[in-house]
Amino acid sequence: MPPTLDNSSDPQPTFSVGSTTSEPSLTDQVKRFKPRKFKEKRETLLSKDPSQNNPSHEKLSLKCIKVIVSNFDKNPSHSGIPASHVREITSRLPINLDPKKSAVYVHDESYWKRACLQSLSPSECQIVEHGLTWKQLFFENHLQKRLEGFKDGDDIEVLLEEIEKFQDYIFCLRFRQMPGHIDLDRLTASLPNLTKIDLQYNINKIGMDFDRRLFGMKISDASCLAKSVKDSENLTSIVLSGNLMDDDLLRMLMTGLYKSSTITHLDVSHNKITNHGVRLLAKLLGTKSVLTSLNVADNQIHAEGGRYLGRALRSNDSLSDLNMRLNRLTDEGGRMLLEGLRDNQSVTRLNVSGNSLGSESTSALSVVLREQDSELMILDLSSNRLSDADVQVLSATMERNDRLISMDMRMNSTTDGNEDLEKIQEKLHYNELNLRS
Amino acid sequence: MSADAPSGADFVKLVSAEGHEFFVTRKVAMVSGTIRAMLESSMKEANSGVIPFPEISTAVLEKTIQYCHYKLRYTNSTTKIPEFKIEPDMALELLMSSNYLDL
Repeated sequence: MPPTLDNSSDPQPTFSVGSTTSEPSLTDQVKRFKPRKFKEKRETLLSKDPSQNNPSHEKLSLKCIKVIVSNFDKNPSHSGIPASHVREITSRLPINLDPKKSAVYVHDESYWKRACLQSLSPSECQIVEHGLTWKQLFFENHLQKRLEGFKDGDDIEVLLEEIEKFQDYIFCLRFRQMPGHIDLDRLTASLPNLTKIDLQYNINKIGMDFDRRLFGMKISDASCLAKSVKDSENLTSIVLSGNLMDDDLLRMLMTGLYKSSTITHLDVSHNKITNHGVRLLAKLLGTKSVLTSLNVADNQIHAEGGRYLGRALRSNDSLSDLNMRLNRLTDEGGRMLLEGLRDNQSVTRLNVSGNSLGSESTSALSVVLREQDSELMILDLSSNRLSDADVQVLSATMERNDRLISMDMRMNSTTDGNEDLEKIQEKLHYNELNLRS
Repeated sequence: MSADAPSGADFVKLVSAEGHEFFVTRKVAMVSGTIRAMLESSMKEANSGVIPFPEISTAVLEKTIQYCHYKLRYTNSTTKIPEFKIEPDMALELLMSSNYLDL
């Protein structure tokens, strides 16, 4: 017997979905108007009669509701029923209804919350990532499972038909494996609300059948993705980390990305991109660019890549977050990158950790930080080759800088207890307090 | 036009949307809260003993009256109570009418 919604001692129905996560659901945040009742509270639908098992004591309305619920599969439409009865019906509906029907006919958030909590693990039930609505969470997760379970022989038309029923609720397309290698542009064509794509072509639980060729994105996938990016008008965020992507795949992807005017976040970290790939990415950062966040961490970018990006950043005013962690920039690459940042007023977060940067980069950096209108606020220089002399240069520079509030200098070749480090720390703290006031 | 008569044996007429007329005893009709309120008030239905239901169709009204008989017969009864069957395609309209009639 599915649990009833409100506790039976309180006849006034609550409209709250109830909170199980730290963020309250959207339906709870929208305040509902509750009418004040002046007359006696009416007998509720579930009157607690002592002779509970007497079917003649049951109200006719309740009987009807039970019949409607048991026939929901064949006859799901129920327009024109007053709201309190609709809640009764949805609270009794089973979780395993056909999604095609329930997407169209069931709108009660409490039902979707129940469905999610019973079929998903708690870590998957983070409504913050799904627009604060349980229905969206359910369907994005359902789509992910369907895509990940799609095998080569399955019929794609059936899948697309099913997707059409709940296409309004998918804002983020996500999967961690795709053994069927579905055409991405056909998929995104049937998802009109899509704003974020997060793909990874791995294989889960493969065990002894491991075959390297099964992993990673293929050229066909990249070309389909490029087409969907080109055609889409509301795609803003693309995350493609961990796809064994090399320069050729990136080039294929770029053909679509160049034509897009809506992408603001691009994440190609943990791939195999080299300088040639970075040259392509730098072309994306032209004067008309709208990209605000670029993540190329953990690739194979050498010094020349730093030069291309530095050159692009000179004329770019959209990028605010650049992550180049764990590449092979080396000191020279770091210098060329930072020289490009000199007149740039949009980059606020820069991560160059793990690139073997040294003194040349430090001098270029100090030029950047000395500028009056430098906008850099968060800087990550950890795991590089900065020495005590470099830290001294930086400490002198920081006296003239009022914007930077965070500089990570861990795992460098500095000695412990360096006074300059403490001076830098104090200035950063001072800057941060100023920012808040 | 019926004059005042003792209730219980007295009959009332319930008219469906299509014009079908159902004669039921007053006691059976009073199972429904709405009908009871109508008959006990000073509305003209109380005098004439005829209540029209222009929104309720014949089949639904018939089923509703069957339910009133069922409830009256088996409330506080110790005999074995049979199930009250509702056809699925009628369930929706029956729900609306039972909501209106407070059944």
